[in-house]
Amino acid sequence: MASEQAFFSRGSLNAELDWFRDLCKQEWPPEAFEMVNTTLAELAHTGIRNVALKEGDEAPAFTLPDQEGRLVRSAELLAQGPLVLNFYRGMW
Amino acid sequence: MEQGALQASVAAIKAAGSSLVSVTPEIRCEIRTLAVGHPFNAIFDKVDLQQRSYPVLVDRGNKVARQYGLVHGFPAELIALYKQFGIDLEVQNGDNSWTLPLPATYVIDPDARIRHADVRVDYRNRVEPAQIIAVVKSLQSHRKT
Repeated sequence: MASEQAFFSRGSLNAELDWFRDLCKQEWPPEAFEMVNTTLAELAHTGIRNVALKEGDEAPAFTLPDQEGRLVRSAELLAQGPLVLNFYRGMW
Repeated sequence: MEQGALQASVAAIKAAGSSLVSVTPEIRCEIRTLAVGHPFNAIFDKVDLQQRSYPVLVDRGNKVARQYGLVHGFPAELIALYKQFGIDLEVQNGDNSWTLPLPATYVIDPDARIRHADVRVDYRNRVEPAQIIAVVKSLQSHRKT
């Protein structure tokens, strides 16, 4: 855990993300920042949080390729123990 | 940033007997549509993709993310803004759907039951890896007893 804390100069991932959001607010045209805020508020309003799977739900099995094209099966990972499954938008 | 934080947490997650994978709609992580010198590169460059020691899986068209109920679209004006910023999801994701998953981190037990769910409607904040490490450690201690 020490290495994970040391990774960010601001102490935590979310402290770093907050800093980045504030930087965007400074750097972007105000209407652009506002557009993102509005879109996120609308997204919250769609109720997507209730659509997303939550604690207690059964996790759908999947088979997906890794960066080299090798197929990775969730069932094989779960046979070895619990699985941390992270979804992210992209590295752009 | 989140992927870098996860990379820094892989050892602790593995030590607790769990594994970690990330799933993204991006078909080619090495493509950079941001211009050289763009201020955001300073952030994104923190993670050397080649040095990630956990699988990064390609979920083309967000098919798996949709099964988890995470997929959302974009209003046209935001698509225009992203393009203006040099981010073209049609290139990054290899489709023209302009859909993305909500950032989410699940801890799934070996019976395929979700034991912990962290779903972010506002993508600008993410789960703290320390929370995930605490969850997998707790699952490990339950297995031992």
